[in-house]
Amino acid sequence: MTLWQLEIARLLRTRRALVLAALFTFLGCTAPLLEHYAADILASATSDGVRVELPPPTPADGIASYESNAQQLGLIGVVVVASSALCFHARPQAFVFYRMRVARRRDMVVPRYVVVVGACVAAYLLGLFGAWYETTLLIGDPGVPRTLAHGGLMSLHLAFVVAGVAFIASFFRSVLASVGSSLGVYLVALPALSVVDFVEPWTPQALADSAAPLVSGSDGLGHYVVPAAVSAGLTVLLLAVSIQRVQTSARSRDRSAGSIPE
Amino acid sequence: MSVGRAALTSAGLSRDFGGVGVFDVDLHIDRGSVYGLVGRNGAGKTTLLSMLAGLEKPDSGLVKLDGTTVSMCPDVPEFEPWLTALEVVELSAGLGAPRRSGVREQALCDAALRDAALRVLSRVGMESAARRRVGGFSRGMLQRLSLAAALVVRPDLLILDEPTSGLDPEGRRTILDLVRDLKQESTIILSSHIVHDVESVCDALGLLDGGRLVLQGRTADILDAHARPVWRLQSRSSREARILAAALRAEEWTLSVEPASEFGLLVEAASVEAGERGIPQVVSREGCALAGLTALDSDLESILLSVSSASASTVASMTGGGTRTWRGP
Repeated sequence: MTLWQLEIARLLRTRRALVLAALFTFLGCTAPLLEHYAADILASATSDGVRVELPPPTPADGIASYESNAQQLGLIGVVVVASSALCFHARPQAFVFYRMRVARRRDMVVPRYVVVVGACVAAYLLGLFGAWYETTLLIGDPGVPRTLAHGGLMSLHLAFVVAGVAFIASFFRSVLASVGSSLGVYLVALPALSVVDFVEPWTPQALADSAAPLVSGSDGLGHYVVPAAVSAGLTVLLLAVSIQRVQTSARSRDRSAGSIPE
Repeated sequence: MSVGRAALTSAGLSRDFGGVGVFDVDLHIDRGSVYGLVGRNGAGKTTLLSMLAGLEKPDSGLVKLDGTTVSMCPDVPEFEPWLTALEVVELSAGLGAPRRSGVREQALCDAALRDAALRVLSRVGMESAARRRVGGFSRGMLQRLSLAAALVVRPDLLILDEPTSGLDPEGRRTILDLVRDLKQESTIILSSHIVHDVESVCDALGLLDGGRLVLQGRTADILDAHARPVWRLQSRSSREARILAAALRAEEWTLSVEPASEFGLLVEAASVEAGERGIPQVVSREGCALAGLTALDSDLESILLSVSSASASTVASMTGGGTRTWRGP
């Protein structure tokens, strides 16, 4: 069994992959539905004499509604799954097993990171397919290439989110603390930062908010080159720091090098 | 301490956690021996073992190893609960094995690793639980699984931190029997606060007190050096006790003979050898029954307690080199 097989087993046997897939599929299937019936729902909820009129939903609204839900409930799921896998110090005795055997720090982090990102992206794209299908059925075709382009940008954003969780988790000895801090960063701090006009265009948050402008055609893919580059750069940086913070045993490193220093 | 080839030596090994930790530890552990590290809770055993295993970086000092493969079993082993015991051992074996280039070669290598994992699980008595998930294992099963995961890499040095803590008597005996067998293959360092376990399997031992190694030597040498020539002799009647007391007092090798409990005597001799030879001779000569003869305070636990208590008052003033070493003849 390799560390890659171990991480795949972790996702499958702990049902984390199933939970992620179910969560994003649910969000993807319900968002266009709610968008389509938003006017009816509001009308039934308002009191007599009050009339609420909403513009008819567009295909971009269907996808944007999914993206909005994915950024909240979906993000919580991603952060919980990523923290559970990447908070090494939460189970110090189990960590000793790996520290004594894995020589290179990156071997400890990279398989966990890649497998978690893969599962999150797959779950997100599954939900996006559901959102695209229902939007096409109920509202209108949002366009496959533009939906896929948004999916690609959001995948990059998810890779950045998981790298951030890996970085944050390296400072904590509890999964709960790692989840709380990560949610604070991704649900509060980053959205707050993107309110600042001159910062917003190049923050990773711009990738997550790309659904409506990209699918409606108001923005092209070129508009997201800078935030995509920033996200990719930050992802590499956060991951590199996380790898550096992992402690392996001096003995396993010595064994890997084939000698014991005297 | 020893004339054997050293599997591990340390010099001035220290790790200070603000007044507590490990200070100036000089170890010498012979190749193929079982070395027992004893001490109270909080004496620094786990910190020292972590430094020897390379898990903790010392503030100062160095560790020299003869060999490249070190395995450690922590005091409370923990594994992924959703893995089977076989998978844990396979993972342990696989992480140290190089990947093969071809699919067929890799499959053969995986099969060999699986065979090795099954053999080791069988050796620790866990073959029937090999395909059970670890999540439902008892503490004893986890200890044995930890040992299997360590053994499958054929370590030159095996470090066992409190391997028998929390185990029932049968589990303890299984682990200790395994340790005895393993010294043919590896050098073993075993920490414990159960002195009887250390006494029964360790060739040599070190006593940690307040983070300092206050005693180090071969177990037999330490026992010999500290054995007090005092015995409790138990007779069958008060009459025989009086006869024996008078006869023993007349011997020139006895220092004192005092009554102790009913039909009992406390006999202090000039030397261990004189008492061991002389007391049975006197009992036999006088035609008395010997209901019991027990050496007092000569077990390892009593010795370590007395050394530990004595060191507590002096260690505070030590600046290093405070280890008392007993050498073999």
